[in-house]
Amino acid sequence: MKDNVVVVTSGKGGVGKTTTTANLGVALARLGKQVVLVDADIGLRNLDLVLGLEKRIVYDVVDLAEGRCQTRQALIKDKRLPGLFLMPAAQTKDKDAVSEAQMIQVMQALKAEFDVVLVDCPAGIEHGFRNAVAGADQAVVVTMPEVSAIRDADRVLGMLGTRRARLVVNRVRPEMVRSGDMLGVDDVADILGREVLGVVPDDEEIIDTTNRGQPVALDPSRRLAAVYTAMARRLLGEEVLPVSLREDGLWDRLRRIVVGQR
Amino acid sequence: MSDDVQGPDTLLALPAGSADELQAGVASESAQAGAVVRPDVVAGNGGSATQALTHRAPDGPTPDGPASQAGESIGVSLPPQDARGGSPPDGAVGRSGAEDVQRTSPQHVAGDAGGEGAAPDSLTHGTPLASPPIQEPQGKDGKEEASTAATAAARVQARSAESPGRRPARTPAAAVKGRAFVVTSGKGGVGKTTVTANVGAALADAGKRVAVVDADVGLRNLDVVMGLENRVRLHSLDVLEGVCTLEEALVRDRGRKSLMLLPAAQNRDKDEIDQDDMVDLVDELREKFDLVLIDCPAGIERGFRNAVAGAQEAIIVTTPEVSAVRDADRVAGLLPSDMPARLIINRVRPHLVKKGTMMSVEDVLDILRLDLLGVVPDDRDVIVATNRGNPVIDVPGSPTGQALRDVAARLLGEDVPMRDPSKKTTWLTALKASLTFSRPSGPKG
Repeated sequence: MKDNVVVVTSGKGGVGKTTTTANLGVALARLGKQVVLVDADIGLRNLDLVLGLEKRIVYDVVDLAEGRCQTRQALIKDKRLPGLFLMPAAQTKDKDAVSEAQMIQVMQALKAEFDVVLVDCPAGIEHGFRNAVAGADQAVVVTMPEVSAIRDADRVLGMLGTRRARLVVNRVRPEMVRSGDMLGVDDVADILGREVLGVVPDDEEIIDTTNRGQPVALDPSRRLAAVYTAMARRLLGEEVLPVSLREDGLWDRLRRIVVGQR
Repeated sequence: MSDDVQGPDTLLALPAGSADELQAGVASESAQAGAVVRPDVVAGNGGSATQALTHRAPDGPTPDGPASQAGESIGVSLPPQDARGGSPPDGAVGRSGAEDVQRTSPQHVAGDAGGEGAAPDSLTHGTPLASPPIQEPQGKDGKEEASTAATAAARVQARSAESPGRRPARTPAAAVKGRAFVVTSGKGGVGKTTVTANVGAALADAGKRVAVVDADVGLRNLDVVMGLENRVRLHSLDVLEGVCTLEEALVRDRGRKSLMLLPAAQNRDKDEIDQDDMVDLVDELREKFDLVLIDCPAGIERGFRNAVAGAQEAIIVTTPEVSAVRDADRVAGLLPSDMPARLIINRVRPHLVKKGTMMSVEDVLDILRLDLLGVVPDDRDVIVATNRGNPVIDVPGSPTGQALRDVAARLLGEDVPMRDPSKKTTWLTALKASLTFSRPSGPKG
């Protein structure tokens, strides 16, 4: 895969960047890829918690950028899956601790060693965002079917420049879409004018698995694991039909009832 | 700099080309979709947009009855393409300046509605100084406002002529000042903006003069949550740059007379404001308002430091999730040591707490050790109300709304018992409790 540095961003916080990064990473690793997840949220890191690797951090991305350690030392290998690595952020430092040039350097080093580099971007569009985006070849913009999240996603899409950007529409509640209280996926894609990489239904399982540091994509029997696997395949350039997903199939049927056509 | 004076037209947040797609694609698609939540903001064909305009304002309490109806009926008579907005309302390329005026001051429109439709865009947008926004000059303080606005134009013109830079330092009035709270969280999406809008509205209901400040420069959302996005013309950076006065930038709430919004700039950067600017702005607001609520951006960067600078107290919002609690802890540590901070635990899902998959209120308090200001249950009312631009406190019977009203009451010093939604006593749990002689689930103080 060329252009293998992918930044996961959103503008608005709390839409699921970190959860998406973790699960997409796990799904990619389960497909046999060498994947590194980079936490770019310096000062408010959370990717380590979601992956359950918080106790194993010794060096972080700031140490690496400033040359205090080797790439290999800062990387944490996830023992649950071969090929899954975490590059943690520093918790006590400021986002100004790293410059865009340093981030690009780190990305170049990782790019050569891994099939996919997923960068978990901080919320907002400040220095941390610019750092995370600096070395990225393409972007996954996570959004929710909610006015403020879409507005922020739109703003971020404008700031990504010419990079390829695809959407993950997160926390969709089909029953609310049906009742007209929530925008549908098609509406979101139309407004933002980008290709949809994946649609994730709102599921309380996520809260539990996140709190326990066990990404839901680790367990193939879970409903959401299939959603993330399909997303991973699409990221790798495969054509995956949404109908092949159980949830999406149901989704389509529901939409057809409500809307009349897809 | 002077470009920004022009208001909505320059606030384009869309990537090139997508505005067109918006108008073309959305109009046809969402006509079938039936899931148009706020057509005037996100999508909408002619029919549903018009419907939404008639539908929206009467949702909230409108004490200004006849005036708002006048504005509303004009809104309805708009041609469909005028009512159709872009995804971010700022991006509505096709929107005419006339609509802005209508939405901002219905009375003004009623006065010269004849020439309204014919007014060219360039006139309305290009010369805002000549016609300062008069925000609904009705009600008991109508006269006062009208005169302020009249003199404002002269003042502004004089100022912009002499110094195009930052506005001159004010001489602080030695009056009794209101309190300013910063609503912050570290992690995004935990509900800062929703809490700010709703607590602000509840405080206004309690008879206080309240200003809510959007400190999220570049990613503002408080205006959308309050349903005021079409009335925003000026913002805090305009005030700081001397383009307008503070009064002119303030936008009055649709329903509540004593609630005002100071919007953030959408097409600017957080680096353009520094902490002294914020202290200055908030101090000026505190002279005019009893309470000031500052909606902080996510993260702990410059925008956070700016938002905190002007405040005397902090309200930290978190959710019962490990990552949100961790970020809240970090934020609590970054606040000035002499700043009192209280905690709102948002989005509590009682059934998940009972199942043990969500942290309980006690778990969160154990970690954070902050004074508890409120526990707010998760509810789909919030999504529906927020998408419509209505406060959830106006939804009758909503436990979320009640919890937020309680928060406002506690901010005013009232002693409201804490309701823990995970210990809600339904008739079934009450029956269970009476049968099993378990500890009574009383309020937690």
